[in-house]
Amino acid sequence: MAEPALQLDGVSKRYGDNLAVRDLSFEAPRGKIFGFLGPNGAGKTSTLRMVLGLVAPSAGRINVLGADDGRKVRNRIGFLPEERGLYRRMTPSQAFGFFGALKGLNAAEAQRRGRRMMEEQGLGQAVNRPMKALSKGMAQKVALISALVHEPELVVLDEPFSGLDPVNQQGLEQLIRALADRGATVVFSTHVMAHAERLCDKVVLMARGAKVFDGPVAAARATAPQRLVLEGALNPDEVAALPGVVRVSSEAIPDGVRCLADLATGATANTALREAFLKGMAISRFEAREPNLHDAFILLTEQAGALSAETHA
Amino acid sequence: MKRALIIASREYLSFLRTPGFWVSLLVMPVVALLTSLGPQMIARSEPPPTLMVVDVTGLGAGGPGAWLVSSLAGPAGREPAAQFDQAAMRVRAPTPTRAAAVLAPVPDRVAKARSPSEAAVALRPYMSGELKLPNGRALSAAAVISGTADHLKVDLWTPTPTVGGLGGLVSEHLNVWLRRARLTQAGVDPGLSDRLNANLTDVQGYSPKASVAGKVSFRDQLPALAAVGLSFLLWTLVMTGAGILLNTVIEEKSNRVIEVLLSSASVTEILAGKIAGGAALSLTMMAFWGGIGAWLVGRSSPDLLPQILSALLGNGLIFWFIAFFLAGYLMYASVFAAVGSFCETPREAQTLLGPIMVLLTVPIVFMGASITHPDAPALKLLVWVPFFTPFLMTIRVAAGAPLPELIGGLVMLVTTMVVVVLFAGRAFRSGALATEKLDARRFLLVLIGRRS
Repeated sequence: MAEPALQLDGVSKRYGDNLAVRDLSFEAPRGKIFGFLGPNGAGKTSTLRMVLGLVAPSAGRINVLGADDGRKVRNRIGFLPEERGLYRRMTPSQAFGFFGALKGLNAAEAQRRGRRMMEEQGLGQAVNRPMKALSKGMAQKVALISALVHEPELVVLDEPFSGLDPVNQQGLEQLIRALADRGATVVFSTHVMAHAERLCDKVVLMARGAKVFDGPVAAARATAPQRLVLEGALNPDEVAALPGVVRVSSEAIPDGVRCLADLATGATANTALREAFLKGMAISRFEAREPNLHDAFILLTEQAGALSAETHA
Repeated sequence: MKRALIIASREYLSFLRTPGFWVSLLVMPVVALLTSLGPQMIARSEPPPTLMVVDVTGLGAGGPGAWLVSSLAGPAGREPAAQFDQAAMRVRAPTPTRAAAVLAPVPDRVAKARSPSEAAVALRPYMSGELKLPNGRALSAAAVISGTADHLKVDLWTPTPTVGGLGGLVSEHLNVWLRRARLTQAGVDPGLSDRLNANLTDVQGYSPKASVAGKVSFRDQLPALAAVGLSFLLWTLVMTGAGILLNTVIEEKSNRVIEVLLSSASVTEILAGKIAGGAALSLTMMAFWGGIGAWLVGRSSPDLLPQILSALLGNGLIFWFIAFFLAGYLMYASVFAAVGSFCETPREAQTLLGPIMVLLTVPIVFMGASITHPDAPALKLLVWVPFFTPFLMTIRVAAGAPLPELIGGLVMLVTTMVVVVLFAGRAFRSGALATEKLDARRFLLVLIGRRS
């Protein structure tokens, strides 16, 4: 099996009294899209900075493309920060030359590659316009191309979808997929689960500086319960008594009540639904809802919060 | 090293392409020109003041009023009035282009006055602007002369209390009349006064350091003047270069370019590149300003140019200047870069830069005084303070400071510079990645290594 592109082993990062990352271990396989998920303040950016060698870990070991320090392999890494990371007065062409040269590429070659990628993205006409004249979506693509002109093996993207409209988000997703198809390993952080669900082969979920999940997207989804949605003239207590139901939340709707029932692991919506009809519940609408990454994210984050609260108590 | 050069090249070219750089390049000579010519331009932009002489002494045609009028107007009014240089306490030779004052005719109602108080009443409408002079002009001042031949008194009336200069002129001319009157009273030829005034003491300075036969000339004073000029230039270059650096770091921090740079190059490479780029810009400015200065001097006084060159090369002034410039610039630029890395807006930077700016005003205060006091103990002491050394040591070079003092000062400056650069590098990395709001306490903790 090929060595992972990225490997963290018991990594922690402390800033003064604040433990930003706690005992973090995971692997990002080569040539895959790896999602690094978590709410704001979860420790994602700190982790990515340690991966890049911008800050040193307080404890633990990091292996990036076979090196123990991201700085040693910086020419093989491409990085896109959370915001644009571009000089406002520079043109895209100048940016490709400058950032490409910093990564060891000939400036003219970097400009040639950058222009070609701009044309592939339909942005060929903007290649000599100053960055301040570009839309946010265009600038984000230019920033990404600047990070890619040296054809890095590992691409680290910090919140790449932040502030983009849906059309530009879709365009960026296509770019990321193309990178993985080319054989690059893509690690990106986000707190928007939909992107991770569509793109990632593997995800790590973080909350309060600690890892709460590490594995494929399907496995992450499986950590959340299946849900049964029932609407009608219903009594939430009766819904809670249905087989397999572990928790019920309810809200009033014009025709009665909408109950959202979380099912226990292994329980099926069919069993609970059959029992509901047998009991003669006045159900006007029902829906068995498969959990998504967002549900898993919320659940795991809440559990981490509860665990952390217990630990502190 | 290659990355540092790439960053330096970007810094240099990006600023060279901005209109702001060219504006600041051109503004400096314009400001220098305005500073030197401004006072004269202001004085010349308005017509000479109109002065009315009112004599109420009753001494008639031989009295002080008539003397003042004739001596201000010159013989038969053909020559322009003399100018009085109050700073030098002497009357300058009349210039053909401009008179110090234009004599105003005395209207009848004023001429009838027999006392200073009557004259004051008669003059009031002219002072308030109600009445104009017969020639249509406004009156700038009126000298009402009263008293006796032993003790003259002059009330100088002006519409605005801040108008100055004429009092000295009037006093100088009337003092001549007084001396002549007293000599006449004493039975001495009054022309003796003029002859005595014409043969005043001629002081010639001598110094063993003077170049020609020990006689002190302008050429001997040139190194000191050049040194002060270079110190001002160095101060301007440090402020300009470090300011440019500060602004680029703030821009990079605010748009997160700094993170991309840090992922592509080491802190040392980034700082070295930025400082080198800023230094190249400063040197471009210096070359430009120096070129303009040399051209102007060459055009106006061609003989002066070789003397200035000789002053710059004498005592190795220019080489010491370059050494102190490099060390001083490196020290201040790294501090400015570190400060910039903590800030996302120039306003935030002002909080941290306040103390540094106050520090930088100290050498300015001493530079002017050091022309006449290059060996003052206070100056000798201040050159050992590394933050002032770059600006003041050049002046000491011109004053012929002993070599141990120069080398010692340079060693101390370089040592301090190395320490400052090390601390600034640490602060720069920390500041560049900081997302918290600016905090001076945190900045200091980072500097002393108590926080990362």
